[in-house]
Amino acid sequence: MLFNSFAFLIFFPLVCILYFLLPHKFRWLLLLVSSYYFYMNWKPIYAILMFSSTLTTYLCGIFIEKYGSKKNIKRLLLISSLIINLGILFLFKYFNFINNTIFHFMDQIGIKWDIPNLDLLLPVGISFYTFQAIGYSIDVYRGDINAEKHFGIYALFVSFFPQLVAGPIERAKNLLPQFREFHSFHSGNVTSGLKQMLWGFFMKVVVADRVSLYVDSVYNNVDQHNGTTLILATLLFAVQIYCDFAGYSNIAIGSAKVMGFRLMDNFHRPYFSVSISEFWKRWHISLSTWFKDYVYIPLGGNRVNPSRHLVNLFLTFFISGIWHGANWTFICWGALHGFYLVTEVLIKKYLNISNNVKIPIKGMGIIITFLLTVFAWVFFRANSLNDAFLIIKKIFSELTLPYVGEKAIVIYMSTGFLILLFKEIRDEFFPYKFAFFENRNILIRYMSYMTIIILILLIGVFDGGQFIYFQF
Amino acid sequence: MKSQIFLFGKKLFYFILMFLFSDILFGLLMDYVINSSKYSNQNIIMYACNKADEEVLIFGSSRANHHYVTNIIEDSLNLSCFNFGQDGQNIYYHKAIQELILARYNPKIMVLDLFDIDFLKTASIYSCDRLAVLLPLASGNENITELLLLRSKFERIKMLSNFYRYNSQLINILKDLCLKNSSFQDNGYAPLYGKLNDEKKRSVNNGGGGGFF
Repeated sequence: MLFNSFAFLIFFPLVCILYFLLPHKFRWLLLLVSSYYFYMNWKPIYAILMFSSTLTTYLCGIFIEKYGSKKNIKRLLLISSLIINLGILFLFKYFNFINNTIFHFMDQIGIKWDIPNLDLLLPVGISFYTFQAIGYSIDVYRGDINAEKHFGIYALFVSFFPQLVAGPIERAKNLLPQFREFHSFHSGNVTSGLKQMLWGFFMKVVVADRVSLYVDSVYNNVDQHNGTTLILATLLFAVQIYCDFAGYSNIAIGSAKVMGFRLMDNFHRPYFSVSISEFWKRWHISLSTWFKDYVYIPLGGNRVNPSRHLVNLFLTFFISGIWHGANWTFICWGALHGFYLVTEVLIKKYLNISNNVKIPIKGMGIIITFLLTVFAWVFFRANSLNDAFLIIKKIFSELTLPYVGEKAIVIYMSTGFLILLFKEIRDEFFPYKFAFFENRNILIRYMSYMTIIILILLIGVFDGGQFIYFQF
Repeated sequence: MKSQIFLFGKKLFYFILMFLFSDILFGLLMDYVINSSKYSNQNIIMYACNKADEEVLIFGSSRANHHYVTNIIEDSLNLSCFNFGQDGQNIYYHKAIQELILARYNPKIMVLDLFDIDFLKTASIYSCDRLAVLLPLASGNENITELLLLRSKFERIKMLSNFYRYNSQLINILKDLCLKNSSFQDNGYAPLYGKLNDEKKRSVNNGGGGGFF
């Protein structure tokens, strides 16, 4: 089920009403059934995969705790859990990509590679729930948390519908205990959650989906467009992917908040970052911290010799690129961010730049960071590496008047974008001024909600625009 | 907990009341705007619903709208002709208009100009989403409402909102309001580059394109 579908507008209030009506001891069951229903709306059979992932990591957690003193058995259990879960992920997400890569390589050296591709659809959100479940296994292995004994509650932790298909990737330490807490109906929580959901819908339906009409038309016909159009489309893609993903996160966090659950923040106005390292502290925070905790630090983090530290940094982002998709474009995108970070570490070290810089330098930092991330988005959005290189070539050579498209669409797009820009600047630089959703005056507050709802209905793009991150 | 529910319920009630009021007001205003407009997609659809009585009818996308010259067809066949072609529309839209007409009378000739892509179910051009242009007229016509249900099973509920009925159409409707030309000037036919008037004819005859070609 999509958050931006009409079915969700019926499903969500119904679940909330039942949730607050039911006695506490049955609530986990309601949420579990609702979460599986939410997931099975897409392709019911794939719920088996989620259940398998849940069962293996649950049993792994129980047995790891049981054999707490026997290190070898513990390690063996963890490795088996990782192999099973990453194996499923590999089969559905990476098998065809690796098979094709080997085929092309073998073809180059004249060897016939004859393994057929698998005709499988990528299960929605598989990377998200797999990582969440793996994170739990590692936490139990490390002794950071106790294994969850209640299978139902653990299954709910893996499948909790607000964050099931596109995160935030939650930590067991934060989310599991919340399923045991009693959440009473709290008007403030509900209102605050609904406001966050409303803003999420605006970001997704009014900005991201509207902008995607232009971006798709350009990026799907790269050879037909000049460099200026490609620059414009890439800048707009930066807006699209932010609004798409941060919009989803807002709806997820908001809907959980309505029921009294606190999910971790996932975006913190990333395009105002003064450096790439700061960008990754503000963009997809739940994934960045996941990679930090479960990949970067186990590799040694920065507590190793300087050159190994740089390798660890690069490797972490390279793997992050692979996580995003089975395509060389995503791998290049991850590697490029790894390269940015390594360069940043070296520049900071040799030029001795501190984190407390003055405002003009901060402004320059924001612009440079933004341009670097936008450049990297070319690889992320391009349909193939050839397209990505063609785009880069055109960007630096064919600078003539851009294709703009239908005027009405430009007006709708600009309206959404300007409201977004206003809110982003206000939240970042003037958090206590120009309040609308939080204004003390009830009329202003209500008028702001009303304006956003009307804009969603009037200029939003409906008809099932999928969230980009569902595919990862 | 009861006081919290009451507090939230009260806020929600006032908010819904405000929303309903503005939605109704907006609907009334937009209905007035559409009826005042000389040139609009909606005018053409209303014409198909209520008035059309031509003997030859043309249906299709922009190719039909900009290429089937109604005056020439009328001269050649000695039959009245109207062009219902519409930019960017697909077979679902044509079906909608045809059904509206066939509910009232049977024309002598109906020409349906189709692209091969119209037969591909996977093509995005095949989507029922493009029927959205009919949404503003949904409230007054059950035939149109029935067709709009092809868009989604929840369409009837969504159409209760006037804001939704005008989704993504506001600018075009306001733009149409400012146009002086009428949709019915050339019986629906819309020349792509302008019309050949006497001055341009002279210019063409003298060997120049007159900015026409």
